[in-house]
Amino acid sequence: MSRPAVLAARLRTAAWLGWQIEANWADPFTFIVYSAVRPLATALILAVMYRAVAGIASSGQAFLGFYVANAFHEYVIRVLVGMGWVIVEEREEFETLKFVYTSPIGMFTYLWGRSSVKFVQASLSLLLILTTGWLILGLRWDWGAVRWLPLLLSFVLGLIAIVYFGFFVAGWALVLPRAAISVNEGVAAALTLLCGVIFPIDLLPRAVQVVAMLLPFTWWYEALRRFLIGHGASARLSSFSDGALLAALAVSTALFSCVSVWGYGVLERRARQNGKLDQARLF
Amino acid sequence: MPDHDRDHAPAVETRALRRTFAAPRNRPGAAVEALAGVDVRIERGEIFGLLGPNGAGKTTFIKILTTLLFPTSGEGRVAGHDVVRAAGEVRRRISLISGGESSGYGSLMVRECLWMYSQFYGIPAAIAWPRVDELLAVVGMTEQAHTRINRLSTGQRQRMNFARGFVSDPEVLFMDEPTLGMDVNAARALRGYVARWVRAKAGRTVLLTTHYMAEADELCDRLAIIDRGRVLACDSPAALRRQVQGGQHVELEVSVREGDGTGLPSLDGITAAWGAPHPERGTRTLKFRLPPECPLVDVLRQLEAQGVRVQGVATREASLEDVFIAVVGRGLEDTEVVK
Repeated sequence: MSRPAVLAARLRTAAWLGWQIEANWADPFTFIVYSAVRPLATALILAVMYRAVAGIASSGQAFLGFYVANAFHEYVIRVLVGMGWVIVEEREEFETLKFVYTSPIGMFTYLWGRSSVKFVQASLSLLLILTTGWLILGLRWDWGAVRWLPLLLSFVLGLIAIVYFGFFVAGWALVLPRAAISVNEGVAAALTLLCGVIFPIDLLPRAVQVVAMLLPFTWWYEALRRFLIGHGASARLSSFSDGALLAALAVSTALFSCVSVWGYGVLERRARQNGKLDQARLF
Repeated sequence: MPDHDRDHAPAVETRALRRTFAAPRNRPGAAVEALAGVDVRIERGEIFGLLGPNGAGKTTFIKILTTLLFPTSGEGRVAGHDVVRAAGEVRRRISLISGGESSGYGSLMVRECLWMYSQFYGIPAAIAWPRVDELLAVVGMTEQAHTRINRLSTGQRQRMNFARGFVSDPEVLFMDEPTLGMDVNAARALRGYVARWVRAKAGRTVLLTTHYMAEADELCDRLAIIDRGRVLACDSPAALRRQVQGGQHVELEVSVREGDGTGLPSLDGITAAWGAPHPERGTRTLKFRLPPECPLVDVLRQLEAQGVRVQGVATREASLEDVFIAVVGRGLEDTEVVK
């Protein structure tokens, strides 16, 4: 087989394996709960929280922005954090990481393939959350005002950042067998708080805002809001023109991706140095 | 190394391969030297065995050569490729089987799991599927081909993992205690398959670690005896046995008092090692090579003087275990050396 054909076969196989594991056909109830009910419940909790605690009408435009960002945050939870989970599962639960690692598939190809299923799951959750918001919570926007091209561009750039940062998270999971689960969960929580998913970054301390603006996800959520529903959530970021917003997203994604690839390489070498690649400790 | 040279390179070559594990931070102490400068050269087409007790460094050696672990210093090459600088090239040519391994993706069926690994290696489907079916027959799992892995017994999972090692038809197959925990018949059948597999195609090589003497004797063209990270002897099993020929190989069944440890009796000029205990008789086997100039009756007197009661005496041909005792200074089951 030619090299591209081999690469395609490997990607397809990793994606197939991911589907077999994620779908968990042996336990459809768990699969449905995890794929549909959990993200929906999270979104509804957010709605109740805003209505009851913050005093903001859950059908207001401000809340719409956070609701939409929270829906897209599924990609971070599923794909980005999920790549760290792949390492935990492979090493600790299935105890197959050493066989995958010593095969020629390569961890990038493998993680990429496995994460493609998580992308599909996240997309289904996104549709479910947005549909629920539209039909039940009255969270609507003007489809005619949607700017499709920059929206699509933003979406793709964000996905690139998510996948590459996922490699970095997977690298941490490689070197921290005991703490890998905490790292995965911690990353998801940190990105929720830092990147303006459920409140504007303007509420963060000034120094933390700088950190937030170095992260591509902050620009991603802002761009998705602006191009889908017509407005962002942050007063600070609203001063950026559409072009500047996209440029900031593109540059931070490029830098972040390079750092993530480099970081993964460093962490993988460290894991190999310290004998962590086949060190099952949790299950 | 140019490609032409790699084609003629040994299957495995290590030079002064060393690996030290630092003491854990929460348990300070001396660092552990798992490999203390190992030099080995394995030619293509060989079944090469590493024989040694637990903790000898066998698994560390395999982990370094299969790119799971970096060496602290020294050099390791597989099929001419450096395991540190060209790990990707090494991975294309190798496969790893770990004994006692019952790992696997529970929701996959056995047949599709083996096929999946073949795809990781880029094997075309037209070759992969017949090979998977052939391997399932070899490990006696044709009937379980469509069984989910989480429904297999531990032994069946081990056999499936054995088949997985062959699915890519590797140039160099690393087998770390491959028959560990298998029943006798399955282990014998799989040893037979390994021997046939290597001879069936020129250039296939197996590096096997084991602490089963019989397995090493039956399978290996050459053996290295390794202990505490050092290779102490390396030759064919027959040549190694010749090293300890001369004199008698004696096994004494001696009484072991309640509460006694495994302290070996002191015997002048003789290296002795404990063999298997017989708890039902309260005895244990004591093994040694009796030099020609030393009458057995003298040894029996020495034992009597130390309060050791001898229940039975047997002599036999030299075995690999005798080689091991002579080279290492103790048996595989011992922790103590007495000369």
